[in-house]
Amino acid sequence: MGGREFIMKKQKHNTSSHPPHWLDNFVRWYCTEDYQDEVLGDLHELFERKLETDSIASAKWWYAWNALMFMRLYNLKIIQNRLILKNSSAMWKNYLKISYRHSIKNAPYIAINVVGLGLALACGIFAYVLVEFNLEYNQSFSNTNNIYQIGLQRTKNEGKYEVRSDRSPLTIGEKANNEIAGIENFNRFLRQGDYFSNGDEVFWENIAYADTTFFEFFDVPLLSGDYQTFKYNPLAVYIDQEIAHKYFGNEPAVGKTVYINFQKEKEVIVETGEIKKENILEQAGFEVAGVFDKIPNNTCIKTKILVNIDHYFKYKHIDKSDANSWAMPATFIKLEKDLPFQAIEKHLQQYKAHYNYGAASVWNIQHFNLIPFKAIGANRHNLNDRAFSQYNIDAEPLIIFSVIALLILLVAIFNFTNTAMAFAQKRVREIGIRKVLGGVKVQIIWQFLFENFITCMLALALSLVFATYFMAWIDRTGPPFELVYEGNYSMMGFLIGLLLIVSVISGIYPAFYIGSMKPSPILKGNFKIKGANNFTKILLGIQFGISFIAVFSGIVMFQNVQYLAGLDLGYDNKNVLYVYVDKEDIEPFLHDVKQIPGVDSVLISKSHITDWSKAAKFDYQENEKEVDFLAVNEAYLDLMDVTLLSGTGFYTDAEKGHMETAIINETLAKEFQGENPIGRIVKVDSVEKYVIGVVKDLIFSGYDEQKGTNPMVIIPNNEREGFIVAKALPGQVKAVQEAVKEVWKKYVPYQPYEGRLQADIFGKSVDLGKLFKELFLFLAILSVLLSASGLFALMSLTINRKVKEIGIRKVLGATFKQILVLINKPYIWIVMLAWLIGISLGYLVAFKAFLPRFKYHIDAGATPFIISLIIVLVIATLTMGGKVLAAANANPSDTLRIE
Amino acid sequence: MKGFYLGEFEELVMLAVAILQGEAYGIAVMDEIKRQSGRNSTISTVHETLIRLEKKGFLNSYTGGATKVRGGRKKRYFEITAFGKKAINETRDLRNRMWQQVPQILWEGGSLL
Repeated sequence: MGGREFIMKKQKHNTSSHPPHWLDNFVRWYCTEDYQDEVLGDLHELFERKLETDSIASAKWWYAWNALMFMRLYNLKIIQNRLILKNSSAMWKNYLKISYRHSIKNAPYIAINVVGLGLALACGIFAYVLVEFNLEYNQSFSNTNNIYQIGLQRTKNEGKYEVRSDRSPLTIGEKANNEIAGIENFNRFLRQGDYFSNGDEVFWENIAYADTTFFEFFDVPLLSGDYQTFKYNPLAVYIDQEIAHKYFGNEPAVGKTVYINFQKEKEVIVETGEIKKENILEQAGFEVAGVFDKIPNNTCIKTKILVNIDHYFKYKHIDKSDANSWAMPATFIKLEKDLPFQAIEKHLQQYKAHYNYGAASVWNIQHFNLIPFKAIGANRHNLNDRAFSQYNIDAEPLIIFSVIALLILLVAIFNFTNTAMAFAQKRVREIGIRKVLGGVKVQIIWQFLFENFITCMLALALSLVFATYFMAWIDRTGPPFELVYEGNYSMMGFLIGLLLIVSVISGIYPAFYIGSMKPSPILKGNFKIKGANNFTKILLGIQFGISFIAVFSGIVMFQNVQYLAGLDLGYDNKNVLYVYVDKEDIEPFLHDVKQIPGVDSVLISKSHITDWSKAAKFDYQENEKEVDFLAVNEAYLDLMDVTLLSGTGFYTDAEKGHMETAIINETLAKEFQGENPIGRIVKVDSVEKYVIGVVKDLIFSGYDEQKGTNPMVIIPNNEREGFIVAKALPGQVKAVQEAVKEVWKKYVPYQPYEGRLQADIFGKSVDLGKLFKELFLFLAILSVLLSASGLFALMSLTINRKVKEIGIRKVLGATFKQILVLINKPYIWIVMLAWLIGISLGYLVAFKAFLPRFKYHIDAGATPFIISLIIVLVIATLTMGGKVLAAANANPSDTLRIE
Repeated sequence: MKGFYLGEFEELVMLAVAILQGEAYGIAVMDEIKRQSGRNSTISTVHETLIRLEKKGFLNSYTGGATKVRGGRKKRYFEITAFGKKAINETRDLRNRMWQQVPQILWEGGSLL
């Protein structure tokens, strides 16, 4: 039949020629309904007449032309229909009133939905802030594209490690600028903390020192003052608005005097006639030459105070022509426009010899590389030196957070869809009447989309509040992100786009479903409420699937954090704190610390277990290798509670020959190929020692290092310099640290306290683990709550639909149990299936993707499986329980007699 | 006078509608104008003029007369209202009055100059 129809159609098409349909549609589109018929009729009649004399093509052209000519003011829809729209405001008001009443009736579900979507959107906003921060990193200056930083790769420890560095020799900028064509200028930049004052109040500030070309490179907008002063007035200082306000309140800052208290070494002759070096402060006055607006945080030259770098050289006694100076600023060069930087990079290589073979070279430069200014942010994590570490961001938590934000958003959207489907069933009568009174499908679809849009808007408003709290929560680790709405057009665009996308995605299916309802069965009263259809079941399944991934991963992360907290590090890290003190002050410092109540024991040790290690050459039977190296006080191992596996600890002073002893760790002991290392003669940095003990591997280099534990050798050393290591009585370590800070202030008043708690040395990797844990638990709780509310909504729907069925079944003798099974069966299957898939994926996420990042982590166990199963059961009982029990217990006479 | 103002084309359309007497729909009017004056007008212009005259109250309209060639679409037929009759009469009277006032010599003597 289909074939015949096709042939007929084709014949018809060949013999008679109709005017193009799209032109008819065009006329229908613009022309008001009053005139459509006659206009099209006239056109068609004339078209037929035209065909008799002219060819089809010219008739069609004629038709097109005349269809266009018919566009006149009197028949244009947009002109003529405007009057009608004006009168419909009362109608819209009523529609809104009805949907408002529905929302009030279903307030609990809508509240859960709005809060859930609000949280999800807040995650989205935060993820956007992170991504925006990174995408726009270092993009805020007009010269961004011509600025490059001179970076270098160098070898350390006789070629063993290759290290990339983002600091450069002091002289290279000037040298390259003078000798290489194509470089317009250079700028050296470094930061240093110093005391800063307005002559009245003193604060510790981070001050940036740069060459006077700074503003040619980075055109920071000035609020007052000018750029030129930096060039000719060596005492010019530029501050940002915040600093200006802090030191001068609302008075104009330009022209005011500020002071920097430089620390300076000075030789003084003490009473005994000896010459001694002493740290003194020298106050230097500067004149505020300009106030700039805040420099954006997502730039690596972020600073609040800017001073000519010559002062830094002067007060630090730095010889500006010294190629091997320890002052290694970041060096930027500005290239002529559109010059390929690779050529300049090639030229730079000629300086390798200059820096590597100088008299006292410290460099060992392998390669100079130019880093485009805007790429510094992206490349930074490869760098060893962290000149800009203050504003460092890790990419991984960022990506993870974005993915989590997306998942939560999905769960929230699906929940929206499911509950909207459930509510729609309660509004069938409204829709029936609307349709009977002439409402068309499109109108109803738009109305529901619009209602959904309003709800989403509420959620968005709520999310702005949540986002502020998120920022505060994530801010504990001090990333420099800021949530700025004012004047942030890309953010505004993102929010509006997000709102539109979310409201359309979540609302489109229910809107079409409702719009397509047939009015007659509804109004006759024999409309059958459809239960959850396959679509909503699938959505529910996905929601629960995501929830269980989160639940499973959250539990694993939680377990892992617990595991790491209880991990045997090979020493005591709970009650120990340490601080590096200069040799001159160390004895009185030790004396003072000893007086602090709560200190168990304290000693001076040349090296200490910290997050960085020294290396030494270790030589056993001509087998030389590089190992980690600790030179410690002989009482150190006792104080640190280092676990001794075999042999003995260091001898005390009284015993002879103790300086020739060494203790090795477990990993190094394996080098002896099964022989007992105790008593063997080894060489440490070419000095003969004999091994007297083996200790457990000391874990100190962070949990997330990929490499295995390094071999290590520990030798006794009783030089009175290095670290003050103190062990506090249990539970008093924080109090002791406060007391040690006071001691520090007494001896080193000009520098901030540099000591740390032993428990803090893992810093980042522990934080990262905790962050994972918190993120996943957050996702787990939120998605479980949302999914449970979605399930509850669908359950109520099913029960409403089945009220009569249950009543009849009960009358016919069904038991309570049978009815429970009847109602729950489809949902139990969905949840169980989602659990099965969820935990499988969760297993992959947790054990294959995240945990391998940690050097020490738990193995798969039964706990997460069991706990997540319990959660399934609890959810099922709680959500299904009340409603189902009520339905199953209901007296059939109540449910059946309604009509 | 003001109320009866008819443009030249409007007058033609009114007269065509009057001539056609119950058969006056867009194309018929267009054809009649062509037949009488040889003038080619587009259907859209004619239709617009008809609608305008209807809005001024000179014409009345009703629909009917669907034919196959029009794809079953109805025509809109126009007829002259009493007000419309008055209007074309006024227009003709005005013209006649003015004609009568033109000096005879203009036609007989060839040139006034």
